Amino acid sequence: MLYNLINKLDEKLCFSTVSAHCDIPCKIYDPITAQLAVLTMVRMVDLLNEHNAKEQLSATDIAQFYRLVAEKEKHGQQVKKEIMIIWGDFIKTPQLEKFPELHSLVHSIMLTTSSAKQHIDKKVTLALLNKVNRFAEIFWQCKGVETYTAVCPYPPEQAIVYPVLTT
Amino acid sequence: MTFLGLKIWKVTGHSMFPRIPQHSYVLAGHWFAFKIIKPNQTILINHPEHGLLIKTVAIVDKHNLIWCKGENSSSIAVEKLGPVCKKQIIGRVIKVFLQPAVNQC
Repeated sequence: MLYNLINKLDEKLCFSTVSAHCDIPCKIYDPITAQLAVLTMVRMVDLLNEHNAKEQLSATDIAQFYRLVAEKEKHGQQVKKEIMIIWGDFIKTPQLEKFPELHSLVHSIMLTTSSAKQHIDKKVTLALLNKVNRFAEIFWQCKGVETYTAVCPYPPEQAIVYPVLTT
Repeated sequence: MTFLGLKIWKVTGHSMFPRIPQHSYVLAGHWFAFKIIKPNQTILINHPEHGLLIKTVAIVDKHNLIWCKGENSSSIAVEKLGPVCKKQIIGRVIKVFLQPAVNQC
C-alpha cells in the first residue's frame, strides 16, 4: 500500500533515481577488436614513415603527423584494454590449464604494446600483431572454433587470424 | 524533494536484488545523521565513474575508506568499484519500499 502511494507521488513529483549498477557477464568476447586496433597501429606507422621520407613538413603535414601519433597511441590503449577484458573475464582455470602460455603471452602483449606506442617502428607493431593473432587463435580454440589466417583486404594488408564460422 | 534531510529515491538496476529489486523506492537520510558507517548498511554513494549508486557496505578499512558491494553476482565487484570516502556518501537507506505482489526476478 505504501509502495503504491509512493508510486503515485513519483508520477507527480518524479523522484530522483539511484542506480544499482551491474557488471553482468554478457559473454560477448571477440579478439577482433584488439586485432583491428593493432592493424590501425601498423597503418599509422606506415603513414608516419611516409612523413619521415619528406624533406620538409608543411603545417598541414605537421598537423597530420600529430593526428597519426595520437591515433597510434589511442589504438595502443585499446589493444591493452581489449586483451585485458578477455584475459580477466573470459580466461579461467580450464583455459589456463590447456594453454599455460596465456599469462606470459598477455604480459608480453602489454610490453610490446608499450614499445609500439613509444616508437615509430614497424617491426615492433608487426611483432605485436603476431602476438595478438596468437592470442586470437588460442581464444577461438578455447571456444572450439577453428581458425584460418588470411591477409586483410585493406591497408596495411597484414595476416590476421579469423574464426571459421558456419551457419 | 528533501524533507528534514530525508529523501525518497527510485532504484534502477538489478545489483541489489533480492534485498532491493529494481523499481523499489528507498528512503535515505543524509550520512551525517548516521555518523557510524558499518558493514551491511545500505548507502547511496556518489561514485566518480558510475555516478549515483546504491550499494551495501562491505567493509570500512583502517583508513576509514568504505568498500561497497552489491547483493548478487551481477553486481560490479568490490575491488572494481574501489573505496569511497565519507564525503562521497549521499545518504544511508532507512527504509525500503518493495513493489508488492510482483514476480521480482
